[in-house]
Amino acid sequence: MSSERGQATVEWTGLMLMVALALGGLAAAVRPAPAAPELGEALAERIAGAAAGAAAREEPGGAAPLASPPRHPAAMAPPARPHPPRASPLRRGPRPAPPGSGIGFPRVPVGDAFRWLRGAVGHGINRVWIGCLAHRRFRYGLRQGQTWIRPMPPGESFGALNECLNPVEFLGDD
Amino acid sequence: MAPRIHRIAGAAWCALAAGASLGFLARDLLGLPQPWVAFGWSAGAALGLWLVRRGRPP
Repeated sequence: MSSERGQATVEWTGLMLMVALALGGLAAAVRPAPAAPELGEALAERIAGAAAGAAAREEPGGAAPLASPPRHPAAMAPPARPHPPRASPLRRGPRPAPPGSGIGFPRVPVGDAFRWLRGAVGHGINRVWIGCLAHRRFRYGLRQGQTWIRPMPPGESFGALNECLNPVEFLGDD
Repeated sequence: MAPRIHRIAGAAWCALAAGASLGFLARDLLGLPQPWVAFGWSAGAALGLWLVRRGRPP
């Protein structure tokens, strides 16, 4: 029997790879929406204008308050419309409980939860097969007594790809 | 012509990848027998095509 040195390293590497895949899929499923452009700049303008006005009012001697600095067009624009409802129920805060219903647990509408689940399945279903390649590599390493550092030969790599993607490998009778 | 080919190729890839995903789960992770592996692959391919049809390409 070949040496089992480094065996725990191989197992932990495979485990960490699986955890990374799972977390990556989860992060892709609940990716936050991008922030509205120029919102931060508009907020900074408003804060700077308010601070300048307060400083002018506090000055003794009755100097005329400074004119408000020129504002960014985005700061003078009417308030943006609220965002449309998001599909992910995980981003919603707890809803107020209706009167007389007891403790206010977060309530997630069934429709939203179903849409979120469908989105998560849609994002993940086409990426799970990549785990097949990792599984083949892991088994190859076990068979050869190797660590993950040494590369797989091209023939073995193509064989693993064939076993993971070729429908005949799944539908055939063996 | 090109968008049509692109759409067909995308649907074929989604079906293949989704079938391979469920086939991998059934064959390697769950160790199910061959008929169940074939059923899992077919169900995954159908699910992938359904998701494409619903306008949510994975």
